[in-house]
Amino acid sequence: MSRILTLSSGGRLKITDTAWVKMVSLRQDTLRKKEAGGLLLGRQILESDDLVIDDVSTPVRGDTRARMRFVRSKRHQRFVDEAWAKSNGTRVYLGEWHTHPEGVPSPSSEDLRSWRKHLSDKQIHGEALFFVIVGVDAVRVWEGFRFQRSVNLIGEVCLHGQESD
Amino acid sequence: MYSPIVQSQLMAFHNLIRLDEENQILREKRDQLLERLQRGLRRDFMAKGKVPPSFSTLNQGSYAMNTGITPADGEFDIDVGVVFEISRRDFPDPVVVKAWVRDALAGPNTKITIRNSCVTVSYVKNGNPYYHVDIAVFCPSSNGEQMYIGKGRENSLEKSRNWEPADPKGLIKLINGHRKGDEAAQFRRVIRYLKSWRDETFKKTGNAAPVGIGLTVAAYHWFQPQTRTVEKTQQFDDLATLRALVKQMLDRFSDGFLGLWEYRLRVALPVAPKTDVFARMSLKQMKDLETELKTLLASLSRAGAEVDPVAACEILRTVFGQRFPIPKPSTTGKRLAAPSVMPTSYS
Repeated sequence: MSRILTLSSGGRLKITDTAWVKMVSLRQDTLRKKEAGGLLLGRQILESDDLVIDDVSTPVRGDTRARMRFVRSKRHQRFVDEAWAKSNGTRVYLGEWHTHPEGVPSPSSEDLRSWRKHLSDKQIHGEALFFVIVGVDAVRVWEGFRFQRSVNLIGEVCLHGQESD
Repeated sequence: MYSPIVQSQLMAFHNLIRLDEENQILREKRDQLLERLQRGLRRDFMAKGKVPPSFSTLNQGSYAMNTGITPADGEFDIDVGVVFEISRRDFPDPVVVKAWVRDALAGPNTKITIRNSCVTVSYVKNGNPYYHVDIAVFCPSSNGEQMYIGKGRENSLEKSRNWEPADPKGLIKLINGHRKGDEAAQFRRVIRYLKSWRDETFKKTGNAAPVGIGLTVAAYHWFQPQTRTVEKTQQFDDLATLRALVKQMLDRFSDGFLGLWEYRLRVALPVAPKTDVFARMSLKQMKDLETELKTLLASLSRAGAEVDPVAACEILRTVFGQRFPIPKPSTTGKRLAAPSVMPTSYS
């Protein structure tokens, strides 16, 4: 199963099985499961507008996890540093993901505030940022525009066999 | 979708498999064989108190058409044409002439078979196949304007033992003159990709492989170069071109009447005798060929739809074999001078 979404540039975004399985396996499909989240890591493909998210970080000690709240600590920084160092600077931070205890997820006002903050953060490099929310029934992906500090829903993947964008 | 990275991997693969026209080993082996043939004919004919026939040679096959690939398994094949200065009237049965070749070349570590269109000489080294030479036997018409190829096996009926009109030089000229410049180069690459697919696929299944000349002639008929413009420069899209050619081949499988209704891919030789280059494939072999071409088409489509060039090349390796180069992921991404520094994220 491959997940390929079309970007505003006409390029494409692929989420590999490795990254996908890590996120989806933490979805809040029972009442007791807490929110989870982490970073998106991947490549901007040379000579193209395409991107590949090929790994994600998952909750570490230091994160705040509740039923309706997740605070990703700065400890995730080491995933970014390691990926960057091991890949000759090509596997980079591409955004954030977290789970929501709702069927088809929508960003909360807190989410939107946090995303905007990321989009304007000068210490975050790269042209594109993505935000993924893993719901119970579907995963939705937003593309972030750094200059406008806005986001646009680019895809929705149903978790019950069917795919759509 | 076109990927410059996949294209450059295909080009690198092509450079890896292309058989250099100047390949020293092949040239030596061919010259040694022709010397042995001359010595053997002299020996056999002198023993019977006869004058040995004189012959000239024709460079044949992929070597002459610049479409050869180096074999993955190490067994080279060499094609050569031998034109005997004899009259068809004196030797109406070409199998007699082919037997001269067989007898002249008999020796240790050598297995010789008279096949329908050639005499195949296989050499063994340390018990393993080393290389083989396909020798096509020709004779000219009395005015020298027409060439005939000796067809038939030792157990063939008389009606299947014939000198058939042929135009080996004409075919080479057509293939070598097909398209110009960069298009001609892409034409050759696509033929070599098809041949490496053929070697990889039919080695695995053990089914009879389509002959190389058949793939070459199919490409001659149906190759359409596909290019993409990237930042105002034209780039050749080998993946899309190969895919389009395979699609054409599949579309041309059809029912045709040839004594019986037969579902086949017919590929006509563009020179005399204009016969179907795949005529000798059985219906079962045709069915296998169609199945394998469908699998090939599906793989090429999947590789073409891949976003990640590394994954695309992994698919292409299943098509073309272990020699297909897969780039390291780190060579396929844009570099950032420093890692991003994360703030805390709230949700």
